[in-house]
Amino acid sequence: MTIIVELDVMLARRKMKSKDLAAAIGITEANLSQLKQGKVKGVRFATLEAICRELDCQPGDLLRFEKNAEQA
Amino acid sequence: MGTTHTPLQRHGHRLMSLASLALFVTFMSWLLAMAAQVAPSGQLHTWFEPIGVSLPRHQAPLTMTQGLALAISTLLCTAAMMWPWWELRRLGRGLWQGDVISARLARVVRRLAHALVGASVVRMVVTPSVAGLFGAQVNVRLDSGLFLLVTIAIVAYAMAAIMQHAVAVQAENHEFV
Repeated sequence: MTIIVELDVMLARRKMKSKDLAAAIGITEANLSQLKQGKVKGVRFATLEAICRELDCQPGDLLRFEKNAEQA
Repeated sequence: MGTTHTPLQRHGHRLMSLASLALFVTFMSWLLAMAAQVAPSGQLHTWFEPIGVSLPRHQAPLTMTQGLALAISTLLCTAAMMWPWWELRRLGRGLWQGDVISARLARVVRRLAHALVGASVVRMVVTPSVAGLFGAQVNVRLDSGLFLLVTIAIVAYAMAAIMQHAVAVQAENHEFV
């Protein structure tokens, strides 16, 4: 996947646990875990907005685009 | 039924009740047909509802072949007629259990379509065969009932395909957080 999710980095910076973030934004821990691992097909804007609000960050702090070797 | 049930559950319950009643009536028709076969006089003068044939009055008792053919054909036609009602009952139970968009329910709807087609084919094959054995005439009519049955079967197949598509969309939707 070429979109890298750096949610765990932001969680560490804000010293927040995944369980607490999941409860705060209204998604399950399992879904949040899948999001951290980049195993989801997409993120709703509502979810992204809630994460940014809880972690006091920008969407760009959570998502990073990385070119594949073939695309480079 | 309580007022807390969803409309879909209520429809499911009605389908189950209707199908159970139809299964009972079909089974009773088969019993009546079997009773006519074992009548002491051996004379046939009854409308064999499961097969859809009115057999002529016979002066002599049935031969072994005729009796066996009648028994088997009646059983086949009865089973064929019960099959759609059985699948309809399964559909009603699925709705009653709250199964709305699922692969399982899509399969049940597809089997209902198979049952409708299968039941029609069985009767179309068995009825003339039995009638021929007894020298009875069968009036085959291409009436609105047949067209309605074909239409319902096609609609059921289409519904099954739509439900299968909905299941795929739901699965994809679950991959969005």
